[in-house]
Amino acid sequence: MSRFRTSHHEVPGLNTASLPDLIFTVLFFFMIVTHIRQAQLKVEYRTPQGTELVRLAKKSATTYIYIGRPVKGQGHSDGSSMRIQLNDKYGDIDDIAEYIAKERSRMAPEDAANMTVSIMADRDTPMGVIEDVKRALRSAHALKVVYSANTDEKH
Amino acid sequence: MLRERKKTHRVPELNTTSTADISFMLLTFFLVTTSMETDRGITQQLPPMPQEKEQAVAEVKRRNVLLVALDGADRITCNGKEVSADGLKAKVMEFVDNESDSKDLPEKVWRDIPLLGRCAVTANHQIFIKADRASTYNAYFAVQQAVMAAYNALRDRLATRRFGHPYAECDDEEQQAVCECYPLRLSEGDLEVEGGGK
Repeated sequence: MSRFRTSHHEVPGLNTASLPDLIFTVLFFFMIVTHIRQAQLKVEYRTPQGTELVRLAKKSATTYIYIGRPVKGQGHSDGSSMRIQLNDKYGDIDDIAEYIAKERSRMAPEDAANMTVSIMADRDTPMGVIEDVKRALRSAHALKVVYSANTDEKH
Repeated sequence: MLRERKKTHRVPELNTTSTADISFMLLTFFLVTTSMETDRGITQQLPPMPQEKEQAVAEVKRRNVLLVALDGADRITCNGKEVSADGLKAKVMEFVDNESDSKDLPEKVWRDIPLLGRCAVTANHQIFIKADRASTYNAYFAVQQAVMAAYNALRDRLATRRFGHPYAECDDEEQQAVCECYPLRLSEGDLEVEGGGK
């Protein structure tokens, strides 16, 4: 009996030397597949769902225009009309030209040449707003537009 | 001398237990500040703003035009007839392809396309999308998507028939040839949308 007990007493410590390597691998995975959030969202939107979508080619050449219902504080949307968010603040149709010019000057020349504007709009946005945005983009010479959407899982 | 050497030989092992914690913290930081969402969507090339106010209205034959309208209640009408989104896809496919060379569908032009040879292409067809200002973005997106789906289906079919694999697996040259056979020609209301997108 006493012999049995002594043999159980010597448990070797778990070697955790490779644990940091494991976690670093996970870390690098996340660094590669994710991207840093651009802006604090002030509007709530649900993009439409689609099946015929293409992946956006270049993140660095993309600017975002968010259209949705404004969010009050931390809560949900207050249900009022659609607002446009440019970078970190609300904007109007008239601000788009200035916004595009500012974004373009910030980009590298080769990115500015094929600048893409990603429209992240709520699915209930009236088309009037979208048309105004598109008109503003045209006059700002930002002609490449992406209608952002989720992949439809049903198909 | 002997004693001294013995002393220097005993180098204590570096304690690396906390490295795991440090990397965990880095990992958590990245999890919080980044987002996983990949941006996908339907691309569209907008036409440049016309320089002068008056714009030359291109003469388009009636048979070459497919008018897709979206009214305030999100109903889709295609050349005056109400259709569903799936019905629209079939309509657009029939319109763009014009397989039977019908008199009511777009005229066909013979084109020499590299890799494909001589093809009859409905090069002058034009799809107009006209959305009411009161219609929702979701319905408009469904229309865009149905049109894209129709083009993609046609291109896929051609690529499978000629190259033996779907459009997505074609190389650049093959994709360009297929695009030339089914060129994307979309217009919106008064805006003219040049279709260059693959």
